[in-house]
Parts: sequence; C-alpha cells; structure tokens
Amino acid sequence: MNVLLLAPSVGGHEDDVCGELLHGPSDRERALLVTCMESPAERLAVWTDHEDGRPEDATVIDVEADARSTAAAAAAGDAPNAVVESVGAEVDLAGLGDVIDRHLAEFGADGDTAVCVHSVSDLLQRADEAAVFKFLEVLTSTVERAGAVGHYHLNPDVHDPETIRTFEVLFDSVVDLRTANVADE
Amino acid sequence: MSPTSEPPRQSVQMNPDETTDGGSDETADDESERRARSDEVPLGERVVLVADRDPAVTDELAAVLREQFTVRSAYDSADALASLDADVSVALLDPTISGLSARRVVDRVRTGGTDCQVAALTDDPLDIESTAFDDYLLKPVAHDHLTRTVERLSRRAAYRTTLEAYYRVARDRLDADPEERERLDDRLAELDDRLDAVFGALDGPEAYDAALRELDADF
Repeated sequence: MNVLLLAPSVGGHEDDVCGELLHGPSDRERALLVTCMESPAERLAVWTDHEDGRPEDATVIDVEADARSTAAAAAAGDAPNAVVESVGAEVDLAGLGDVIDRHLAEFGADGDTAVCVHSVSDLLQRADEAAVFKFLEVLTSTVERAGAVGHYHLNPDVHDPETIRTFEVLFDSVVDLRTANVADE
Repeated sequence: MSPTSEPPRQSVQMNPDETTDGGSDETADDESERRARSDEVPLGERVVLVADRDPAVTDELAAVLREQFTVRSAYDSADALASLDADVSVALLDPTISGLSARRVVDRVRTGGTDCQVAALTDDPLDIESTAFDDYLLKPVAHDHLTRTVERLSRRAAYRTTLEAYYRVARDRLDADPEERERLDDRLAELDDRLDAVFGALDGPEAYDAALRELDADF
C-alpha cells in the first residue's frame, strides 16, 4: 500500500503522522527511510520519539548529503543501529531506484516493512515532474510487490495544485495534513 | 530499395494516421490519444526492425523473429532510418553500417515520435552503460537468445510507452470537462492495469531503466 502525505511547511504534525505510518498497527520491525535534506539521524529520530520505539532493522538511504546545511551534517554522526547508505548527487533517479530496490529485496517480501520517502518535494528539485512521476510509479509498484507499506512526503505549499493532483493518481490514499482529512482515492 | 515488411503491414494499415509525416498539425490531445492507442497493439503486432550489414544475417534474424513478431528488414542506413517510425517497438541495428551510427539512430528515434528499444548487432561485447543502446546482441546470435532478447525489449518498450501515456492522461484529466474527465478516468484505470501486468514481468532495475533511461546522444 502507498500513501501520499501532504504536509505543509508549518504545522500539521508531520512527524507524528510519519511515525504512525511507519509503525502501523502491528508495530513493524523493519524500515527503509529515504532522506534528502534532513540528516539520517533527524529522520531516525522521528520514530525514536514514537512511543513504540524504533524498529529492529532500519536502513536510511541518504540522498544529496552534499547540499545539506552544516547543522544537519553535524547531527549526521548520530545514527546508531541503522545502516546508512549515501547516494551521491550525481546518481540519477533510476540509480536511486536501484538502491532502494536492493534494500527492499534484502528485507524480504513478508509484508512487514515500512518505507518513508522524505521527500517527493526534494526529488522534484532534482528532476522534472514527468521523471519523478515515472520514478514514483515504479517505486510504488515495487513497494506493493514487496508487500510493504510506503508513504511519501510532499509539501503542498511549494508546488502547483496541478502537480499535486497529477501525483495523487499514483497512490492508494492521500493524507492531507492541511485539513487532516483522510481521503481514499 | 524500400524496406520490406512481412507479414502484410497490418500495424501500418490499422493506424494510417500514425505515420510520422502526417502528424505535424496534431493537437496535444490527439498526440496522447495516438500514443495511448498504440499501447493496445498486441505483442505479435508490434514491429521489430532488423538491419545488419550482411543481408544474409538480416534475413536470417528476420525469419526467426517472424514466428512471433511483425518484422521489417532494412539493408542500408536510409532504409533503416526511414523504417524507424512510431510502429517500431524494438530495433536491432548494426552500428557498423555506414550512416547508422548511434547518434544518427538516436536523432531519428527522438525526432520520429517513436520511443523504441534499440539493440546493437555487434561482433564484440559492448559496455552498454556507455552507449546509447539499450542492449546488444553478439553475432552470431543464437535463435533462442534472439527471441528472448526481443521479447524482453518488447516488454520494456511496452512499459515505457504505457507509462508515458499514463502520465499524459493523469495530466490531461485535470483540465477536462466532466464528461471528458469520466472518459479519461476510465482510460487511466486501463493504463494502470496494463502497467501492472507488464511490471509483473520486469524486475525492479529493469523497470526503472525502461521508465527513466534517456537516450544519450553523446556516444
């Protein structure tokens, strides 16, 4: 299953909802996090702060680390009990997809893996809308095939409404934190 | 010599408006519709183009492929480039044919409105990542390897063109009036089903590559 998480710049309890989606009702044991602008430690903290704690196996795919602020980079050393794989800025979306696919395969296909992509907005800084759309179609299909549950952060404040509505067709459901309504597609 | 096409050029007759010459005044809607329709062509009616510098090799490979595909043979670069239209989903080309460099092929594929998969027919192994080709076939080509490769490239072509159509319809439906939108929603659901079906036969890296690979003319 794949969920689009529309999280505005301010408010909306993005981290709380992200933690809920990662843990799920059955307290999943494995998680695959993709991060662009935030450090792996910052993303891991999102569910460390969750009441059920952190899953046993965490892998963080760290994209675009060079572009990150020095403050975020300083926090990057603190990612215990997690595998961090850095993906350089020269790697294109197909290359990023291959890395995600490899880690997803390592986790196996027994349906107990959570996937968090933070964020689609950052990916749209790297590539045009058509390319990101196609990348996400493949990614959501591989997540579905692995029996995993994925959610994908997108900041609705920084994109055209047309872009958001185009991307919505790729997902099973959309959680819009601007209204806190959950709409099934 | 004009390109030959056997069995009879059913795919051309089916969509007479799909020639690259006649479509210059198509609107964007016509264009997406045209692409969408071409996705519905069954595997056996997708066209494979074969052009080796040795006419005997061209004929041999074409004969093997005709058991499953509609095949066009070409014997020089002018034939081959003229045959690379929107009906072609897989092209097997010998880059040592004079005038059939990777750059010429890529230029033709880009300007012809076609989005086919291209495999090189070569005498030596290629590092495919550093070329504009999607794959290569080392000569002499074993017949079962030939068939398997074309089947795989055909699936990749189908995934790529279906995904492009899916994106276009997802975009077009935003501006559609309610009646049109209902039709496009149905279309979107059909394309989604077809994507899922083709995806089932691809592994992850193949799907990413088919979806996103840009032909690189720098070769």
